Amino acid sequence: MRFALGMGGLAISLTITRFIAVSAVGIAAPAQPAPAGATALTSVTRPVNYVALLPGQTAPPGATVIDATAPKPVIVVTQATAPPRSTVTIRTTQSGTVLP
Amino acid sequence: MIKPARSSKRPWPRKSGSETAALFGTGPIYPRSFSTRSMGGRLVVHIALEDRRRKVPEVVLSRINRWADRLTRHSEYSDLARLNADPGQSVVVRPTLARALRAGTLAAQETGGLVNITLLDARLAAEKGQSVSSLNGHTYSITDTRRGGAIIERAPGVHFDLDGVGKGLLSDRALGLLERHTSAIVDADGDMAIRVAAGRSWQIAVADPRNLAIDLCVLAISDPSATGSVQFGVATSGNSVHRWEHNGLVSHHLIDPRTGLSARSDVVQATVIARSASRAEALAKAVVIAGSYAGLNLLEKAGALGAIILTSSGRILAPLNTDRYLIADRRAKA
Repeated sequence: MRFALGMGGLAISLTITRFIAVSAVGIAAPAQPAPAGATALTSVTRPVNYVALLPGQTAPPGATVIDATAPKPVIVVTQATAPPRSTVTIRTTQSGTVLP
Repeated sequence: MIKPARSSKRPWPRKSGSETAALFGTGPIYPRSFSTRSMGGRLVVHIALEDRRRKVPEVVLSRINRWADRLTRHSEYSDLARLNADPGQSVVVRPTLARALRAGTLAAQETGGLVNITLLDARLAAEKGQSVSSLNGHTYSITDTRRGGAIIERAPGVHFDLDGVGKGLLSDRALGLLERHTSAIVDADGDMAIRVAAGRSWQIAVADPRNLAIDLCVLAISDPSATGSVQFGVATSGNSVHRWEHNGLVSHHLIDPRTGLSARSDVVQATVIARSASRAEALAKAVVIAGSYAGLNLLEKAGALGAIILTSSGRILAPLNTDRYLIADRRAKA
């Protein structure tokens, strides 16, 4: 019984793997050639992997090294002296604030 | 007393159904607001102006007030006050308080312990310009019982102060009661649980604690990629309001659990955008306690959607992912 269940599971996983492999091939192959004179644009997503370097280790060629102790990049908001209030009536405040 | 916002005039011209949909179908939501007093502050439910249902928000306000009556430490008859007054180390609590204590435990986990609901004694001492002798042994455990209640096992001398944890939790629960409204906000004294329909946005101003007549900035809370309603939480915490001065020493209500004293950091106020009011409230408080540098790291680690941080030097900082919520172009990258 256990052997039969195991074989059944194996068969299912093989089928799924095959489907994924076939799908990947289908995505990779362009359906139509690009028109003459046009530049073929391909969207490629490159995952960014972060590796914490230990003392003495060096980064691989081409890698960007980020100082872990450096401050995070932020946006500095410039406050308006007269903010628009025409549509805004909802305000978030510290608790206990009595609004004018 | 619940006071629905009323207007002597119709706020918009009488139009047919399709014309109304065209008028209100996209863009900023104009709110209709229902307010009452609760939890020592204001409690407001905002729904879209075009939403004609009036009764539901009033029912929700009443329900929140009943929940709040169980969680306040300002009434000796509340469940929280009874728990704190009970000399036993093992106490059975009812579902609403059990849920709030669980939320407090989760907030502590998400903020690396910076949010701590067992610091009531330290807070009361800060109000008097004093300090507690020791914070050691402030441990407790929660064991669920049937029907949502819990058994609280605690070390001797542990007293609970839910503070913003309770407000965030109640906001989130109350928003669940407004499930028929595709756009709604439950605002518990600045801690907001928000639902926004696809294609719409709530405009929320972040008040400037130095001058309440102006705002630090305005946020447009929406999710352009959403196909249905999306939930957010926006909460603000800071050290400008609940402050006390004794013998020239200033203290405030945000206690740093590492010292047992009012937090000393470079952050005056933090507003956080997250997926729930509970989460936003916990992170906002943690940023004020931790300071801007550690706070920005914490926000990134916790997956906060955005934040507005006012520092003691007057700078208004925001993580880069806040950009999508900032209205107007009054910002510069640094």
